[in-house]
Amino acid sequence: MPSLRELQQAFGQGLLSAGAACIAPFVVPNGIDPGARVQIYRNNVREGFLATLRAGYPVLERLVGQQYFRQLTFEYHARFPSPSGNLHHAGQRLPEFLAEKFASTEYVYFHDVSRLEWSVQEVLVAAGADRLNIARLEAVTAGDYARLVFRLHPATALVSSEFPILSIWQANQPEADERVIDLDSGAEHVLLFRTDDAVELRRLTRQEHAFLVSIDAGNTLEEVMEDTLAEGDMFDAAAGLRRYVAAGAIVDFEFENGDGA
Amino acid sequence: MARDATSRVLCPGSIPARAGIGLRAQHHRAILDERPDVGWVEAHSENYFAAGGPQPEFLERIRAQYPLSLHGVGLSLGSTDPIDRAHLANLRRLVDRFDPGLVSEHLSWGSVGSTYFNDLLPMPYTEEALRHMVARVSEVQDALGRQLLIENVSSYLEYTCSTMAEWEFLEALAFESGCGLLLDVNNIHVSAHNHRFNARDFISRIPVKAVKEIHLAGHGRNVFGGRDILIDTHGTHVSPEVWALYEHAVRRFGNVPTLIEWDTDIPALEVLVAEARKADAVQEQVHALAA
Repeated sequence: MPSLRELQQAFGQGLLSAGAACIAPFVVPNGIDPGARVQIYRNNVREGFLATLRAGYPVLERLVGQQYFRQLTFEYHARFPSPSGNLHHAGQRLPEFLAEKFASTEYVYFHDVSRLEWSVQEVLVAAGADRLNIARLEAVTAGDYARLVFRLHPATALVSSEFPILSIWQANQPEADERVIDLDSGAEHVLLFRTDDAVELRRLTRQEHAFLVSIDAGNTLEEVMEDTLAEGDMFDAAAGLRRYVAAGAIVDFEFENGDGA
Repeated sequence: MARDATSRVLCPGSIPARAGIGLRAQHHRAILDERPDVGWVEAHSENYFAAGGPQPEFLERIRAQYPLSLHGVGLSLGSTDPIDRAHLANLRRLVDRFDPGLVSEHLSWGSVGSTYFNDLLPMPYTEEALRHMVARVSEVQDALGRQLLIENVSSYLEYTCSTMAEWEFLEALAFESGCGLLLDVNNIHVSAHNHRFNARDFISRIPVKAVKEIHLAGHGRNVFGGRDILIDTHGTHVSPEVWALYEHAVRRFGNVPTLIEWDTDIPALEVLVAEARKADAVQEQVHALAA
């Protein structure tokens, strides 16, 4: 008689591979081949995984078509089975899988599209935070500006690609008009943030992206401006701060030496 | 969206002995707008593990209107891997925040060697498995500081090593761990058909006092190797056979909180509400006959 552990290992092997030879001896046939019985579970596992990925990667599915998406998902599942009892995490490594699979092909942009879609999923479930009261920021004296350290809302993400990923994402929304996106039309940078019950995606210039990435790295405003101006000549920091505070993307600040404000 | 957690208002928490409906994201808004006349709602715990965002926010608003049951599908209780501490901590956080009337999980396993299948895989009914389940259920009850209900699952295979019947296993588990039972009448029907046992006998063996909740759902039918197998789809109406078995169960267990589950091909809210009314009517009818 197998131990419980041995039985679960054998069943697990049967679920991930096409064969059920390892578990079949422990299954009562009762009129049906044990392999067919295991196949019912294998189907359930794969279809459940597929349904989760379809919900999380609708743009990728539209790009590759339903049938190929199904095939891709099963390949991905064989390589990266679910790491958690919470299905939210099932699609976490799809970008990594696509990067490897489509490296040096014309489909290399699938990786960036999937990074954007994974960020949408992450932003939806990230912790909440109160908005920053702009009056608090306005009360800071000019002499202290340089050592301001801002904090982004936990439910924000920044995604940058050499491909026009936001245009691709927008063109593949259910309500979007059909249009062709030129893959060579240039890099796009995206800020994702949460509104009441959805995720908003906003196009950023290269400088705006550098500004927010530097803030997200925990730099002082002085360092943030150095990083930002490395990407272009002029940048209105005050307008940028107002814009991202208003959007709820910047939610807090302190001073470099750790003083609260 | 941020709201002071201490200012929230919850309606009374205990689950009434009438029908409730499974809470699905598609119905969040409709439930708040229409406030359907159902006794309670049941949420899949994992769907609300998010640290923030719309899902837990909706649950908070719905919880202000309805008693809530939390039903887990991902704890993998029967697995021989250690319990996922982060998963258990998330469940604890949810229980503390939403004060559910009932908390349930399954008599099943779903992971081995840290690979998860996100499915309710059947346990062998052996002494070793029973000892394991008793220890695991006790561990979770201790961590949550409350009783857990354990649900019987639909199954498509039986193990040659099982030495007791499923109902014997459930009875011993409830007795030894102090857990309650969530009897899924559809699952009993599905497994009885698939393994050729008598569903009514199964019900008559389950200790009356242990049953704290009943589940009802729809199933499908597939042909494998020339034999038809019932598949637990949660994707259609409760079948006439399952309604009849439910009536039998109500006669034995009395009026018990009963949930309509519908997880695939999810219909409009009113379809679920109509199924819940039907379950209420069965309880009323049995009660009237007994009076």
